[in-house]
Amino acid sequence: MLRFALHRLFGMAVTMFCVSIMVFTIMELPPGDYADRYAFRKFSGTGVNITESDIQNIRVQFGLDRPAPERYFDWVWRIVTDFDFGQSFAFETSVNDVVGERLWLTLAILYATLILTYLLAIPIAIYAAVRRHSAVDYGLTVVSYLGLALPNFLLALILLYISVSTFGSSVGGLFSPELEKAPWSWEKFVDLLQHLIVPAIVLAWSATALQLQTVRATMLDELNKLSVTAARARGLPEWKVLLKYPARLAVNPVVSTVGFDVNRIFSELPIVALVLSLPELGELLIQSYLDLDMYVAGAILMMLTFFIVVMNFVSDVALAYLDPRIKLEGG
Amino acid sequence: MDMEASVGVTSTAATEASSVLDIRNLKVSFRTDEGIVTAVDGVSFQARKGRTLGLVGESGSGKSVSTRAVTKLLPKNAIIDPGSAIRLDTGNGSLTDVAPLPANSREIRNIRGGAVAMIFQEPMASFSPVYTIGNQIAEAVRLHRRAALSPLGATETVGDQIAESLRAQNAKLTKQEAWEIAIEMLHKVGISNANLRVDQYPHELSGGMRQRAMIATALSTHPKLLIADEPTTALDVTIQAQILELMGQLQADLGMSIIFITHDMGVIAQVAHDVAVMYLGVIVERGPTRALIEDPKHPYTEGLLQAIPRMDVLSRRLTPVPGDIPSPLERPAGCPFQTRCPKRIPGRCDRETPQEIGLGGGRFVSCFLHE
Repeated sequence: MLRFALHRLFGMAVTMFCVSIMVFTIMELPPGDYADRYAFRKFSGTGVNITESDIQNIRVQFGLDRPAPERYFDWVWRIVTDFDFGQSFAFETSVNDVVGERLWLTLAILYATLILTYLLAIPIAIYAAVRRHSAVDYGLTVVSYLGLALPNFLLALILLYISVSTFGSSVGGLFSPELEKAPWSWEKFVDLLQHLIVPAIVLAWSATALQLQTVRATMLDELNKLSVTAARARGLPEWKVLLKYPARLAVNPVVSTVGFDVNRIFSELPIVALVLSLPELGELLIQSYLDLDMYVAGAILMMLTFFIVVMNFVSDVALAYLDPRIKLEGG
Repeated sequence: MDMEASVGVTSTAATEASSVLDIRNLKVSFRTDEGIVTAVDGVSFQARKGRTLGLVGESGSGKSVSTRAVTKLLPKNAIIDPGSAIRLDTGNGSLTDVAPLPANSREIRNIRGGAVAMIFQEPMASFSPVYTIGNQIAEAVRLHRRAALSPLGATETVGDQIAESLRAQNAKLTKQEAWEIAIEMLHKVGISNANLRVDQYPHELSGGMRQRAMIATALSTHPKLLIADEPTTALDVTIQAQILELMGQLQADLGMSIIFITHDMGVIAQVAHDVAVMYLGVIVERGPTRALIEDPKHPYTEGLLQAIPRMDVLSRRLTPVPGDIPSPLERPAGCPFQTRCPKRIPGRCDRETPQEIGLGGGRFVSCFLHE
């Protein structure tokens, strides 16, 4: 088991290395660089004439004149040793400050969504499979198709409307206005949880729809296995049979696709965040692209991929723990 | 007179007691989209203590359904006809009719794995891949075995003894005790290094070993009746021989009754004391194995026997029973076998249904040829 985990951990490091090269390439791709943007924004309309050498000076000032590989290694080295993602040009402060709290709030949204997805999908799907062709089962299919078909920004608007008009909560954001700048306290934490409900439902919507179908299908498969009949033939009470044998295996595909869910949540997050005005990373990412603030963009891309890779690692190890057949092959 | 009467009572009691399972006129049908399909149509047979009953027949003849009805391990759309009687020794020595008990009742759960244990055709699929062998054996043990009484000397007063016996009746075995029994059972079915094997997962065992482990699971609770549903079909011939020998040995040790389901007449000849030949949901012929094999009365039994290869008659070509078993949806009128029967009496077999006729010597046949 330990060897398996170490093996996967090594794979994770290799993945992160490849990702960092790709991210840096993406950072280099847009035409022009931050020096052009900086000069344009600072001096346009002031009547000052900017020459090529002025821009060159700005480049030197920001260290953008050095060759790309050198800047890449410098960038990676500082992330690894100091957890320093460089300077944000647009905000004129360090990337860490800009990303700062948004990172934790993004993680809060991510985990709230994952927990909600699995709490809903797993038990409901197992119930639907056991009571196949019942009202719950058919209702579930309809809801699942709605979940897959309905665009989540629309759902976000609807839920926002309901939560404001019916429950009188504040519009959007992750905190009530009066607590926004307050230091962390129990009250603020509860406030955060309340504000997490709507984004979590919106983001969990399609993931739940998909996982419901996966778990239901696996459960139906497992229910027909001879080992389940054999367990019944041993005289085990029905609910114990269901939980110990088919349900245990029906959870496996969910565990193995946690990484996919994280991925999906991250790609859906910016749009939902825009609608609900959530202070999270996706929105900042789009903004940093527009500003050509490449170190902020790079930092966010690295963090998001890092979480996806970590969740994949967690799901691999969890699956190896849940299913003894895997350890043999994993090495 | 008194003596005679009492002797008479004892002898009936003895024959009663020797029957572990007595099925009378069992009818099982399934509710399907095409209507009611009858899978078992009025079957009667007995399983006796210490003896093996072989149930033979092609796929779809109702062998598995009629035995699974005993433990109510049937699909949800199955209906057991209220006229059926499944009288079973549930542990107290007398026969009780379990046919009316609902499948999810506590009584049926106590019977499953308790009085009646089952082993299945595919040893790989009968174990869950995510639990150890020991886990699955210990599960059965803890469900059905109760803690043994303390030796009498350990208790001082009668009150203590009563309390002790109550405790013993209700006390579940600890996990540790159940685990010990699992190891002991694995050892008993001839698995070497049982104390290591008990911790292994099913995929780490070979096919023959898995079937041995399955037998260990089934017998760990000392059942009165073991239903073996084609236990050797998925195994190769040498392993099959070992498993059959093992089952025979364990039967001699534990004195349980076995119902052995197979489509292989050769296996039946090796293991069964009595045979019942099933065709399309009915028993066409039953009786002691040797007599039935040496002198088959029903044309279907004859056909089955001609389809076995024999070492002593190598020149003869094997003759299969012609045609296929009809779908239960299209049961032929009259005798169910008349569509494939070489000795069909036209105008009779396709109109009337033959009744079971006693031929003496414990032999019964349902065929107009023997009226």
